[in-house]
Amino acid sequence: MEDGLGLHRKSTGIACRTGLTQGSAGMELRAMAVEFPVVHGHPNRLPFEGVLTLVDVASDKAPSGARGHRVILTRAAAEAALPSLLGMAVDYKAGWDGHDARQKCGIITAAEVDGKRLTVAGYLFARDFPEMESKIQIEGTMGMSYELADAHVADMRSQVWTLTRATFTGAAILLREKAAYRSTSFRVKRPVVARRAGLAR
Amino acid sequence: MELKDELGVTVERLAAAAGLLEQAVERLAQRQSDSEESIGRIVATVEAQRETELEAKLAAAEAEIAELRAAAASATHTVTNGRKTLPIAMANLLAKQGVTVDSMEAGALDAALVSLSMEQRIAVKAQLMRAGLLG
Repeated sequence: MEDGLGLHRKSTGIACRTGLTQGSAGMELRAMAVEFPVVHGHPNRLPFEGVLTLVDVASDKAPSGARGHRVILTRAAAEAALPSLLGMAVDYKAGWDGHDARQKCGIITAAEVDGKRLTVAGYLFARDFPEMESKIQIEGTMGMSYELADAHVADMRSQVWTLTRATFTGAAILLREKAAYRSTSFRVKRPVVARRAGLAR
Repeated sequence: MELKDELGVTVERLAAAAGLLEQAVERLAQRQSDSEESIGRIVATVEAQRETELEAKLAAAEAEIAELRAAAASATHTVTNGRKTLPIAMANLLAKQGVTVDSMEAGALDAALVSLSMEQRIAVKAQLMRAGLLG
């Protein structure tokens, strides 16, 4: 993901950037990011990246609040809702099985729709939540889950609900098996400085 | 003059058709908005509560099935016992050997019939099996 997405980019100040690029496979990619000034060795800023959800794909399980229906977030809805993701928090719940909106442990600073994947990047408040680190370092076990408000369902009677409009209000880091989309993922990007320090030890 | 009239009629028809189309589009849009609904909050986490509910329902259903199976099995047993088709002569023979039809046990039966000949034992057991008293 580090090489493929590159959501974290060098910046010199706070700015909002949107982008529409043509991927290597001719795939359209929409991205949006709030650029933060770089602070080398920031003790409370641990970069992360993750696949928040899939677009135009039915969820593997019914999300909470969808009355037992699996859901499809349309690509158009996801793209339109990208700005609402920026600045929203990531949270986690004890047990890693859901959301605890009051346990905000990080911030989303970038989001993009790349093919079927809606990926996000941001920072975790690693120093404030030291208990998180041991769990989230285990590659492949953690996933992500979005939180939507005012989602419009195209047809309430259909077996799989199609969400045509929505607003992101947050996201959670949780066990992948607890996510409605099993293909989500989450990983921290260890800063270069910390990696070097780790090697020197 | 005639051409002008024809043109006028055609224009009128076209205007009417356009009106009908507009109405149809309005109706379709209305239908679309009727079926579309807004949901307050959706969280892409597996609904634990719903899973728990479903698990509880499944457990209840399994318990009911087990109960029904048990009831069906005992009903079969009762019906079999209720047949009482054992010939009187055979019941008397068993009574002489100290075996009652109500409390039949395979071990007790073998012990009770030990004094009988093999043919008699086979006949007794066959009758009991036919009567459904011996499994």
